[in-house]
Parts: sequence; structure tokens; C-alpha cells
Amino acid sequence: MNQLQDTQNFLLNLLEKIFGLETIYITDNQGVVLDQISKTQNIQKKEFIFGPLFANLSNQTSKLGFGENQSITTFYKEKIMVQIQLNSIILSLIGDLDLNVGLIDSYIPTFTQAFQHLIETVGEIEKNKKEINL
Amino acid sequence: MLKPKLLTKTLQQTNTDGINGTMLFNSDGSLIASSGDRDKNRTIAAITANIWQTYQKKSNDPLINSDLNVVMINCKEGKVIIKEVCKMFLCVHSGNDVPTGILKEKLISLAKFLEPSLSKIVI
Repeated sequence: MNQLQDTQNFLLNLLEKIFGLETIYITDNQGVVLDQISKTQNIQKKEFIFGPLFANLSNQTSKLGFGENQSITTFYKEKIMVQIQLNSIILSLIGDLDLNVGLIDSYIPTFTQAFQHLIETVGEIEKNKKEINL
Repeated sequence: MLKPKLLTKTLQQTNTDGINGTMLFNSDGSLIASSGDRDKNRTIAAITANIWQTYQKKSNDPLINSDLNVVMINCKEGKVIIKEVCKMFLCVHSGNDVPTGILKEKLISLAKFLEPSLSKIVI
């Protein structure tokens, strides 16, 4: 429970620290939502369509010839979304046009450290799933 | 009318300071003009066209609710950035040492430069 609370606190901290940031989702590689937090919207529904979307596109981007996909940033006319692959989890950050993408990029090692327990847990579950299927 | 040689020459001018390829392609991923490794560009055009379409289709989700402008892909060994211009796509790719901001600004400047000519083409 402490680790869940730590994750929530970290996400809350991010929302406050990064100017322009509005919503954060953490999903696994199948797009299942593990945690979320939002400044502007009351996220009642659990479905986040960009989670599985990124997971599917990551396979395609790996075929570009530039190695594994690390992140995809989509600049819309009114929003910016940064989606980052952190081993077995995907971190999606959505904000307005003031969102500092460079700052988010520089925080990637920090994110990996902060979510290490979640990455390991999800990684273990995925590994067990594969073993069961075999 | 598009002048292919002139268009390719213009795209080539972007290939400086670590930028390895620049291309213009249709929404189905077929190349119109490119500079750099042609085979590599062909693959990048096909894949990035699909990535663009996938994100654009979901742009009416309440979290986003606006049209797509630029897509930036960061891989372990390179970066790719795409922008729509007059219903075609402009794309630039580089190694990892090129700052993302420069890549984006070069792409946007190139798009602005080509837009008046490309807008005269009916697709």
C-alpha cells in the first residue's frame, strides 16, 4: 500500500512541478490502466485509448531502423501528449501547449527510478503469463 | 506542377548538422520526393504514415479533442519527426545527437517554405 501511495504522491508532485501538465496515465504494455491522476478532468472511466495505441505502435516504430522505441510525442493544435516506454510500463503525460517537453525528456531517468517497483511487478506478471502460456 | 529535381534539392538543404534524411510523402506512405537513403526513407514513410493516421483517428478523444500537428518519435538510435502539409507529409530523421527542438524547428520552417507551392497541387 505504501508503494501505491508513493506512486500517487510522485504523480501529484509531477502535476505541480511541470508547467502545463494536466493528466498522467500509467499503463502496462497491453494498455491496462495501472494509475492515473488529473488536474483538470475528473477521470471516472478507466479506459485510456492511447495506452494500447502506443503499445501497438511501439512494435512498428522498432522497425524504423533506429532501434527500440523510447517515446512518442504528439503535438496537437490544443494539446501535447508525451508517451514514454519505461520497460514494462507506459507513462503518458498530457498537457496544454505550454507543456515543457524538454523537461519531461530530461526526467526520464527519474521516472524509471520512481516507478521501479511498478516496472518490476508488472514485468514479473508478464513473465509469469508467458510461462503459463508455454 | 511540381518540379521533382528542385523539390529534392530543397529537401537536401535540410540534411545538415546530423539530419540524415528528409522526405515528402502521401497519406498512404508512398514517397513523392526524398533526400538521403531512398530505401530507408521508403520504409520510414510507410510506417510513419500509419502512425500519423492512427493518432489522428483518435484525436477526437475528450482528453485531446483537437487536430494533430506534429508527431515526434524518439528511438534508441535516432529520431523521426513528421508534419502534415497540404494533405501530404513532411518527415525528417536524424541520429540521437540532434537536439529535438532543432529538428522540430527545421521541419516547421521547411513546411512553411513549401506550403505555398504544395497548396497549388490538387490531390
